Amino acid sequence: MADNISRPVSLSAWLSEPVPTSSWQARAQQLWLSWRALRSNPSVMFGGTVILAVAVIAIFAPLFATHDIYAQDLSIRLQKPSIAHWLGTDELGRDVYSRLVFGARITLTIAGLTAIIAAPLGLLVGTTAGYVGGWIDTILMRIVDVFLAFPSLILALAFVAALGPGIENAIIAIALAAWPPIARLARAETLTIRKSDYIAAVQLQRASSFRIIFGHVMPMCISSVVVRVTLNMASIILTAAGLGFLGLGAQPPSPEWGAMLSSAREFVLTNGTIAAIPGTAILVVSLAFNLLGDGLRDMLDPRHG
Amino acid sequence: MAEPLLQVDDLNVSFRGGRGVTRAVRGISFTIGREKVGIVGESGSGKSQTGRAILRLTPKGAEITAKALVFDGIHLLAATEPQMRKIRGKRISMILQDPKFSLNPLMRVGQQIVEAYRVHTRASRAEARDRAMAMLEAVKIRNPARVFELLPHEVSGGMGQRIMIAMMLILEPDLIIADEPTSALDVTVRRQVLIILDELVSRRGAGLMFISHDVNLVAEFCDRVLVMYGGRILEDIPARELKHAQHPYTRALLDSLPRLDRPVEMLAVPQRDPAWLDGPTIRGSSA
Amino acid sequence: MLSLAFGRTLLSVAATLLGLAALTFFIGRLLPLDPVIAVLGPNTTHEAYMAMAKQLGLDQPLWKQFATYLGHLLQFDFGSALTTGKPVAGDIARVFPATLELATVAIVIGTGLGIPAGVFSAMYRGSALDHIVRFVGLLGYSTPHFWLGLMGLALFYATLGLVGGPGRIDVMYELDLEPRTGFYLVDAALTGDGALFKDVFSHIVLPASILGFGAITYISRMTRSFMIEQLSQEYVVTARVKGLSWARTVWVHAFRNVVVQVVTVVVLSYAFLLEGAVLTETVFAWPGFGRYLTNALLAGDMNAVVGCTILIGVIFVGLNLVCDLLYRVFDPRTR
Repeated sequence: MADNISRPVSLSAWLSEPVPTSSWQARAQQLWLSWRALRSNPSVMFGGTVILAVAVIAIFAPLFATHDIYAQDLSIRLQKPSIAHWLGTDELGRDVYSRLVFGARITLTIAGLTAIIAAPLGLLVGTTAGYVGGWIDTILMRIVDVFLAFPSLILALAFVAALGPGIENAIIAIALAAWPPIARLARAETLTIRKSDYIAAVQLQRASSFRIIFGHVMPMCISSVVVRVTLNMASIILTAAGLGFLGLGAQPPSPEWGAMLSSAREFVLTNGTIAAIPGTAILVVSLAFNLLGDGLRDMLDPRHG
Repeated sequence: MAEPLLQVDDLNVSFRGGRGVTRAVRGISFTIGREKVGIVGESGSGKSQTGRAILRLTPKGAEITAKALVFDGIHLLAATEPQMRKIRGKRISMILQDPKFSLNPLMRVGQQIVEAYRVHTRASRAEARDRAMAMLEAVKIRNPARVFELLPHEVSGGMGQRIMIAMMLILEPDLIIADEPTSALDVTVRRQVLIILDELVSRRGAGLMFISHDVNLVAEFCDRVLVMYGGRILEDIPARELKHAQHPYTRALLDSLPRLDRPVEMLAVPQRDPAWLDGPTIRGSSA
Repeated sequence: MLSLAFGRTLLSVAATLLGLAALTFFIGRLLPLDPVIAVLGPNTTHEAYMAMAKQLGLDQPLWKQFATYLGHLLQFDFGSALTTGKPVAGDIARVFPATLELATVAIVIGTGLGIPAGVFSAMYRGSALDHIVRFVGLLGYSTPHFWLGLMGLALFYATLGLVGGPGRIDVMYELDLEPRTGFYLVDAALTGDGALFKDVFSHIVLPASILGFGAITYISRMTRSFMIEQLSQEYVVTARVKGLSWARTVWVHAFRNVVVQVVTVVVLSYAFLLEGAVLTETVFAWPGFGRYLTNALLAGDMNAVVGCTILIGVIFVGLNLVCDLLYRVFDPRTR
């Protein structure tokens, strides 16, 4: 039949066809529908755009910075914003704007690495505890409870005190404080999923527990874990800034935003700008993550908000 | 026939949602006098929203319009909120479906009835309590003093619904809207509750708007039946003439009911005709 | 019935506390510094090293060390602080009232403003008020509170001179105050000295407001969420059908169903305030528990750090237990 000869169709027509003809088309349509849903949500768009912008700035920091971030010049210390120094200079005469730009790198690195450590760990512990049950569940959840018995900042502080200051230790400390809520969440989701029929079907096919957990249970938890991690990201950034402020995070002369606030502290009563700027940066990035997380949660679970 | 209690002319209820406007009720007209009128329809036919619209208690985002929505000479759509508050509970009230959810879980049931009474009267607590007890007796609850102090989760479904009836009829309203009053109850309990409702409604001479998806029930219980589908009333017919219904949808509903005297191999499933959404409606003879 | 479930909860709490002790023991041992060297210095003889190790109990098997540690904990012996040489427990008792006072004032602010904000936000959901409350809440979750404290000091103290500076009290008045309860507001009120009270108040108002702001955002968000859930219930419709006004329906019916949850949220806020206090006290030079912990951290005083951490953990667990109790007692449906 002449109608079966494939004709070149426009991309949008192909994507909106009601019945996809290949699995590849079906996947593409799913992606496109998800993109459309994302785009219609202002929280997600705003938050996502800001984070993307910050990421770009962080990755291409050398291109965005105007000065050497370590170059000190005590003759021009504590200047207000000017043409030469867009955001002024700090107490050692270093350009604030360039330090801010490189600080973005540190902030996003801490956030990203913490997520990469905490999320899989939490997911693994939570799904295993929820699926296997029994005394493994009890022990694992008891450990989680103990971690959850501390406010995350205090726990991170305690770990950093033990490990010593420094950015790597700060990341480990924050990650250790961040994984328990994820484990709790993953376990709760797993308990619901465990009772489903399709899990029973796979079990009847004698799949190993390992395969079931990794292949079937975990993928179902991923969307709520992603939302939770995004929402926690703001708190992770704030904790990192707090550690930096106390001098326990990235060490000087590193341009970490919290550390910048710490050195600005002495001069805040006379020169407000110098403290306002890194703080505002922290605020903006946290806000963006919160907006993104809120928007994602509204999309994926319309019961909230 | 006497002046109707409720006159509805071209009532529309629409919701503005993410995907445009949804019209739940599309231009329905009917009257209710001091009689029992049943509104029958499946889920989504708009029958519940009709009831809510009369009391102006539709969910947020709903828009109600009508050529006329008149109760005892009062134009309900033009009334202010304080005026509506005087009408709700006292002149028009509504019995909700499931007492598990429609009663405040943390308040003693007697107290909830007392509240209904004291909202509209200046009665003292003792007076209101006596009236509430009297109502509990009127709905055939055998130990009113004990039940008065119970919490909603401590009473059975049938008793909970009788408490709801007591609460909604204590001020002797002229019009009672019953939104699926027996759908959440065990079949064995339904009849008892309906008998009580019937008695109280007849005694007062009130009008009753009985919303249900159960054609059989409505046919037996009510004087007149309004069949709703897709937001419209397709047929308006006295209950005793139901078996002579003319609209194909009504016929399809009746045909799909299982009957002991005419067993069939397979129950008929109504085939929906899209023409019913906008086609002609039938108004049967009244009285 | 009640006591059986409660007994099980107590057992669970005891197990958690045990785990807490284990975790802090582990953290204490994580210290890369050799504890013997920390005391004796790097140049010691082998005999002196072994003698000190024996004295510190380090030659014992690990589980025995843990048992000793546990024994000390139960007697509230956290060891001695490196910096002061005094028992940590005593230090903590000395500094805690300052933090408690700060946290209490913050909670009052948080509850007084947060609960109505949450309720009104839910009542008029989607309105301008709702959006403002939610946005302010969102800002609150995204702002580093210690930075807010810095900015607050710069604006309200340095520039406008409206509030007192860092510390609990001006140097001028320090000698006038007899610390009887440890709560300066109470003590100042007891002396009847108006100027003294004003000074103490002006010092606490800014840090308490900053902490309170954090509490407001948390409490209002949770209250709003609980109220929205209640307002979608059928009994709310019933109340309206009876002729109740919207305001009465919300406060007499819906809010009543939410009170237990809100109270537990407020109790938990106390716990979060402890966390917030750590950084806020540093900014405001507030001589409380948080600053003590921070100083201990920076000095590497593990005894003090571990002592503080355990205390916070115990408080957290205790507060959670209180919340659990409240639920059992006040929500008849859980019985």
